[in-house]
Amino acid sequence: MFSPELLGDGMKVSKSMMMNHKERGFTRLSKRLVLALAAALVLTGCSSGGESATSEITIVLPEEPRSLASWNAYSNDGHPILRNIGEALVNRDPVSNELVGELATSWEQVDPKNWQFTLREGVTFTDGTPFNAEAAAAGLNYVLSEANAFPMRNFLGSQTTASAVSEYLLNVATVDPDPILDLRLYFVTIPQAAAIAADPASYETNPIGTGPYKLTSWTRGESIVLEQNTDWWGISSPDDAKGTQSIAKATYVFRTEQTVRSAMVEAGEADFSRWISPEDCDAGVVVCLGGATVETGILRLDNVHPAMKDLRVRTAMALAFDKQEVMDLIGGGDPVPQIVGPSALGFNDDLEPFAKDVEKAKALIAEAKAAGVNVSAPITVAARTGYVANGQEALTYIADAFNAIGLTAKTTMLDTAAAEKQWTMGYKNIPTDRGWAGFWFHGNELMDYSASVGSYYACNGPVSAYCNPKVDALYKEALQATGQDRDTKLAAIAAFVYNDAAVIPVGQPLFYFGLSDKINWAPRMDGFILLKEISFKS
Amino acid sequence: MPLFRFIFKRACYSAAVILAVLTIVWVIVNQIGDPVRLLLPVEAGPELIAATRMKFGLDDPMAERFLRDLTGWLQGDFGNSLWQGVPALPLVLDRLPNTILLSFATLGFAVPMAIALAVISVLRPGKLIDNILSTLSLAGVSIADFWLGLMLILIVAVQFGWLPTSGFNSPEYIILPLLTLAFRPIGRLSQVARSSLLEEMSKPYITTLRAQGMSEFRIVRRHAMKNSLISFITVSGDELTSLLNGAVVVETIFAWPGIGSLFIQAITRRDLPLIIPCVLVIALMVVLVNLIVDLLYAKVDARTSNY
Repeated sequence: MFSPELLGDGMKVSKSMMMNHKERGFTRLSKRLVLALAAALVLTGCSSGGESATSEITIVLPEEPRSLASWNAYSNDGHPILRNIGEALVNRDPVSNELVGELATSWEQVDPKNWQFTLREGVTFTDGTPFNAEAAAAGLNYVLSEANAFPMRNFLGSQTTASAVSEYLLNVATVDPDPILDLRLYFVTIPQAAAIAADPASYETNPIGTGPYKLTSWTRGESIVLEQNTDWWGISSPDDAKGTQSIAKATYVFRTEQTVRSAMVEAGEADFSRWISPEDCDAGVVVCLGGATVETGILRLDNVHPAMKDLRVRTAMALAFDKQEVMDLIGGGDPVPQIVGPSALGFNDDLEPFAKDVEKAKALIAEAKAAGVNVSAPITVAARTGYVANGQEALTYIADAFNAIGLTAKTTMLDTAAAEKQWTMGYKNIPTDRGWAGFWFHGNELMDYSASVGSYYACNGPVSAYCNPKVDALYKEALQATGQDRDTKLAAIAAFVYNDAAVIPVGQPLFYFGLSDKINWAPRMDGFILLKEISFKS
Repeated sequence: MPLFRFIFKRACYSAAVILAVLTIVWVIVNQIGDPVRLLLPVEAGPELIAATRMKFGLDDPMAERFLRDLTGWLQGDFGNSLWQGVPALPLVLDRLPNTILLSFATLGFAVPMAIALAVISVLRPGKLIDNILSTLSLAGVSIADFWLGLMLILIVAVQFGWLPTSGFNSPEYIILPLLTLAFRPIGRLSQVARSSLLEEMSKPYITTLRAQGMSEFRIVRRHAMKNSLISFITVSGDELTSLLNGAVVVETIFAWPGIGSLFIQAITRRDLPLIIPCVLVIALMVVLVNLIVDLLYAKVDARTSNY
């Protein structure tokens, strides 16, 4: 480091004597600059911040949540934090992925429209009020209220209403029969309704739950801090809680750039980084974990398009490119034959991902052309900007593959709002000349294929570009089924839409996490980051 | 023209311009995307979309919404951010001091650096040091701050551990974003200062000073510098305006909680109630900086002092 102390007085004098007026002025200016820089460095210090105490961790996330309210924080930005503060009636076992009790100890569907949950006793909210069936009903009814129209309602089926049967027995009723209501309620963390009523304006930034951690501070734009809830029921029942409070304090910070998130783990500023690139993993993050998820990369075809409404063309498109190649381009993962993975009920084990077969694809296009199909109608392979790593390369690879079999394809990437506007038009509103083969990730957090069918294959599906009355009929039938029967019926739909090549499933990506060498953690299929599942290495 | 009248006239013009800008932004943002679609899951059904739109008053006719918003603006009420659900103007005002701090610190570092580099070049015109500094200043103007920021993080923070990667906790957190941001102004300002100083140094009165035996450094410092300041002040004001407008990329990379990063998040989410106060505050800062630059002209050049 260059510092003024390195220049001896004698040296300065002798230099000065040899200089003319111009040089002396220049030297004085240089020295002032050096002194100013040195002073700035001394004043600011050259350290990178103190190391955190052993029981504290820093977690770096891509985005700051807009809210920590149960009804809004369902999404990627909210649940990594909220799910440590609030709890739901049920959760999933981190290893087996099976539904397990959280605030409920047992539950059953008592008739097609009613479920009853036996609640855990001895649970309190972090404000000290008891959790019982009355509190659970009030919290659930606020979140799922028709009048409030919160985004959480999207995960539920028909209107859902809770009521207390006794102190620890909760009834949840639906307008239409709902055989997977327990799966749906796994998303809904139960808020303290009395606190909402007392101060509705501040609840979104000051949530009160029953979870292992409580919010202690939220500095907008900077950090969120959680600390242990010392009254948490799970302290005395770690087996039921599926975790322990190894961490005393967790500080969440937010960095949009994945390279910066990786750098923070490497520099020792963070212990856990969500979603980093495989390249950053290779570059040396201390511990890098790739986790399978409920997300599936798909290529959704506009079935109203002059070329893509023809089954031969759609099948040719499915055969035109190598799914593994696309997955490798976007960071790794495995091809799948459905728009859900094996974790979902209704996954059809008999199906195989479409294998690349260019000759067969060319023959199908030639056959369609001979039959009068306009195979030269332009197709646009589209995606949302920044939605996947190397997104443009992946789109170009797919478009080139389509051109190679005799179609006319180009690529486009749109910003989030513009892409979502196109994506959510619905089958009936898609212009016939749009010609989108849209690349997107579909997450089936319910792990039930019916949610995917309702969204992507039903004629009225909010993101459907396909319509077949037969699928609608099969879907309606499967919705009311339970257990093995439901699995069979959903698997039959999977086979039907596979043969119809309505949507081309590409693959399930890996999401990467960077960890410091002081903690243990394993990624969950549902993407939750639960502090109770993080422990320190001995 | 008296100073007060000049400022009053400028304020009136500026108010009209700002109102026009807000109106144009309002219309454009309303045309380019639906914030409700971004708030809800992509699979949300039409009933939920309609109910959410009604909740935020987005189902009203456009003219009615504009009049309602305009009335609010004039009363200082910009509504709640759709994204954060809290009043939008305080969100922007909370970020303002951070943007001002980073901008002024960057300019405060860049201006003396640029002047120093320009003086060194002018004292050795055409020599090796002049060529090196000219090349460096060109690099400063050309280099992408996105790349530079990441490189500084990887080298200074990760490799050497001298400074934190990002954030906003203590004074040292400003150094990397400041250095990243300062590169371009140093390059641009040193080029401007060098060329105007060289022009000044070729004038007859400088030759007279040289004939009197005054050193080159003294001539630059005492005489040429002040006379060449006009264009330097103009470009400095321009650079300050750019910095205050929000160093979007740098604020995002370094998680610096300024207006730039807030503005980009608001745009990405089509959060109109938040976009409008961001634009307003930025526009006000631009107006203020331009006014200060005009007043500085008068201070350094008597020919422009009659406003």
